[in-house]
This record gives sequence, C-alpha cells and structure tokens, in this order.
Amino acid sequence: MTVKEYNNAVELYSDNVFRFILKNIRDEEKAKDIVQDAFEKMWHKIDEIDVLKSKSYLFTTAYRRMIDIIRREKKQGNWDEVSEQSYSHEGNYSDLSEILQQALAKLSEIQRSVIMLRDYEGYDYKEISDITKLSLSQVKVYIFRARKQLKDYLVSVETVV
Amino acid sequence: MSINKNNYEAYFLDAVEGDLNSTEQQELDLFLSQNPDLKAELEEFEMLELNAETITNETLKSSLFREESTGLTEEEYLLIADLEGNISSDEKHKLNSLIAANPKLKKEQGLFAKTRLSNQEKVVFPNKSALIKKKGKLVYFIRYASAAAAAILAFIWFNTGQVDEQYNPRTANIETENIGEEKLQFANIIIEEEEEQEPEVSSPNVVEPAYNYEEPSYAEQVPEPKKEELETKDKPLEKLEKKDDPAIAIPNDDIAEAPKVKTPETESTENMGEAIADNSTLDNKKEFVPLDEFAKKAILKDKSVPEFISEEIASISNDKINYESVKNKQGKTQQFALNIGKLKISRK
Repeated sequence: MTVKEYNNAVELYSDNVFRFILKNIRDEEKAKDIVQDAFEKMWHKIDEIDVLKSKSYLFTTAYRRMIDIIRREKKQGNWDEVSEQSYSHEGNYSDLSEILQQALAKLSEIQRSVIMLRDYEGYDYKEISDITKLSLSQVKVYIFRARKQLKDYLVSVETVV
Repeated sequence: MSINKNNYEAYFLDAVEGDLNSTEQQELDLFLSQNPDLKAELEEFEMLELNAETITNETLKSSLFREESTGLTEEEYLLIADLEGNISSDEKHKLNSLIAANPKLKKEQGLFAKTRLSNQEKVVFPNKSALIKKKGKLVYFIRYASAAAAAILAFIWFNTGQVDEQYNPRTANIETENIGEEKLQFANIIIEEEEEQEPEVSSPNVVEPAYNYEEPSYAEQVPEPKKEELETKDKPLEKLEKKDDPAIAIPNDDIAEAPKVKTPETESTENMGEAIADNSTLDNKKEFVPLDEFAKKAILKDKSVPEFISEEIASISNDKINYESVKNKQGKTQQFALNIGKLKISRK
C-alpha cells in the first residue's frame, strides 16, 4: 500500500468508519479517537496491508477498539449514563429515518454493529464475520433478531402515533 | 327427597350431566309422566351441552412454530430471509403460500423492508485532514527524530561556548594510607590547580586521570618491575602529551620517576585506556583529578564531544553523520558543519 493509496483510503473510508463508530458509541470525541487510532495503525502497517483489504482492516481495527472501550466503560459503570443522557429522543418522531435511528440505538452493540455493517457498508455475512470475529451463524442470528427488533419498534411507534 | 315442582330443575341439570342414579332417574321419569308440560323444559337443558369438535387452523399453527437458530416465528424468519436475500427456493415458495393465505403478512413484509438503514446518510469525519500524509513516512521520522534532536541539542550546547564558560570541573580524591605531611603537600597542589583553571599548551597542569582505584593489598608481593617495563609504561603518556588539545595533555616528568607497581588492574582495563592503566603507578600518592579530564580520556577516548556523540548516534540510527569544525586560537569553535543523513546544519 502506497502513501497515495493510504490517503485515498482516508478520503474514501474515514467518514464511513466514523459513522459506524459514532452510531455505535454515540460519543463524537471517542469516535474521533477510535478512527484516528485505526488509521494510525494502518499507517504503521502500510507496507503489510493490501490496498484491497484496507477498508476491512479499518473497520476491523475500529470495531475492536470500540468494543474494548465499551467493555472498559461498562466495567467502570458510566456507559449507560452517557448513552441515556446524550441520545434520548423520546417523543420526537419526525420521519422514518429518525425513528429508525432511535430503534437502532435500542439494539445491543453487537446487533447494531452487524446491522450497520450490513446496511451501511453492504458487507456480506462472511465479511461481517471476519470483522467482528463472530461465526457465520452468529452473524445471521444477530441480523435476523435485530431486524425483528427494528420492525417491532416501528410497529410500536406507529401505534403510539 | 322426592322430585316436585319446586326442585325439578336440579333434577333436570343432574339428568343432563348424567349424575342421576337409577332410583332418581325412575322418579324423574314418573314426574315427567305426571307433568308432560315440563318435558320441553328438560329438552332446553339438554341443548346447553357442548359437543367436542376438532378445529384445524394451519395458518395459526404455522405462526406458532419457531425457527431453531433465530428463535423467530416461521413467518418472521421467512420474511427476513427474503429481505436479506438469504432464502432458498423452497422457503420462498412457502413464504408466498403463507402470504396468499394470510394477507396481513404483506404488511409485515413492508414493515421489514423499512428496517433497512439508508447508506445515503452522510456523517463527515472532522479530522480528515489530520490523517492525510503529505510525504515520506511518519514512522521513519519518528525513528530518527530523537537521534537528530539529541545530536542538534548536543551540538548547539558544545558550540555556544557554554561548556567553557559554565562548566566547573570537580576533582576526584584518591585516599591513601599516608596522611599528615603529604596531605599538606597535596593541598598545595589543589591550590595551584585552582589558580590555573585554563590550561595552556606551554605549561600544562599536572593532571592524572582518576578512577575508582583501590590500593591493592598484594602490591608488595609483586616483584619490582624492571627498567624496560617502566619505559614501556611511559609510552602512553608520551602519546597523550602530543595531542593538540591542551586539556588532555599530561606530562610524565613526575610520573616517570614514581615507582611502578604491576597489578591485575593494569592488565585487565583495556577499555579504560592505557592512561588509566598507568594510574596504578601512582601508588601511595594522593592525586586530585578534574572529572572532565578523566571523562575525556576514559569515555571520549580523546575525541571531541561532538565527534563522540555523532559516532554514537550514527551507530544507533544507521544514518551517516559527519561533523567538522574549525577552532580559533583560544580553542573555541568558530565554524562547524553537522550532517545527519540529509539534514545539514552549519555555522560560519
């Protein structure tokens, strides 16, 4: 991977990796740090990484870093507080996209991650399995259950509205 | 109790339930023959009994089954599998049949389709410019940055005259057994040295390199060295004396006359240099030696400090480092040039 290819990866993937992490942890500063960390690691391994796998490398690195942070903060006991304070949109149902974002926030971290990798990035089950280190069947189960939860949330909102 | 017009309803209910015994049944039959108008009422009681029937609802049953891996109902599983493009032809056929049988599933199918996140939603990473690498590799910069910084700092330090102006050399004291009169003599030497802080080439100080030398207890057991050995020992001192740098010039006039003692230290201290080895000839003498003099001989190996640092950094970083300088008559650096790889620094 050349420097030019690295810079191209910044242009192509930094927004997507940032969106993926931000939607998951809902903390912009932490998301920035994770993205920068992922690119820094890729830079240090620039000679080893195939340009065709750069996107996957970035998502994998960022995802694992994020999971580490989530676990650490859960252990410290402040994760739930942050989530609730920063991203509570109860009662603001403007359109389907916003409702879906709210539904997405209610999924577990793993469900949210696999759904976003699937829908935002268009990864197949095998690629998601590689990134998340879940088995293929686990990926499938998480996606199916996430779809079910999202659909139930849409139904519940329709009923409320 | 016999049946009459006041209690016949209880008999009728028991008759419908089949709870009457033969005697009670006979009494009921006799009562009905005497009151035929109540037969219609008994028939109404009999109509209240429900007949068991078999109700089969395949649609309902299908909705209750759970798919093994996901735990979803069969309908949900098939709808999601269809949305995911992860459905077999048999499953697709079954889904179509279910939708045909239950039109409500069409709405469910529409709801599941809405769960797809739109990848058109843009989130811009704000620090993108910080990630762009303009040229070269940061990793290499980091690798050599510390070495280059150290070289530059050392270079500036030793070429701004601060060493000569500020450095206050300390002295090292080698204690010996003999004190008293000799101690007074060495005290005089200290005074003389302090008066001659800036050594000159024409009148060098009597300075010997100092190190942690302990008086060997077995020195007297070593036989007196021969004259040839004494001459050989003097050679390194002569060699040092020829150096241009007055700070490291060591006269050997007094030392040459001192008795020489051959000790294990003199044979094993190769890295400390011959000048240090010859310190063993100073038995029973008390000497005060400036540490900077000792450092220049023992550590720098008669090289200038910038030259020594340059060589050490070069050995670490594998970068080619050159240092050249021109000094004036007072020994101060007037011009210098420092090259570290492609980095070049000079002052005229």
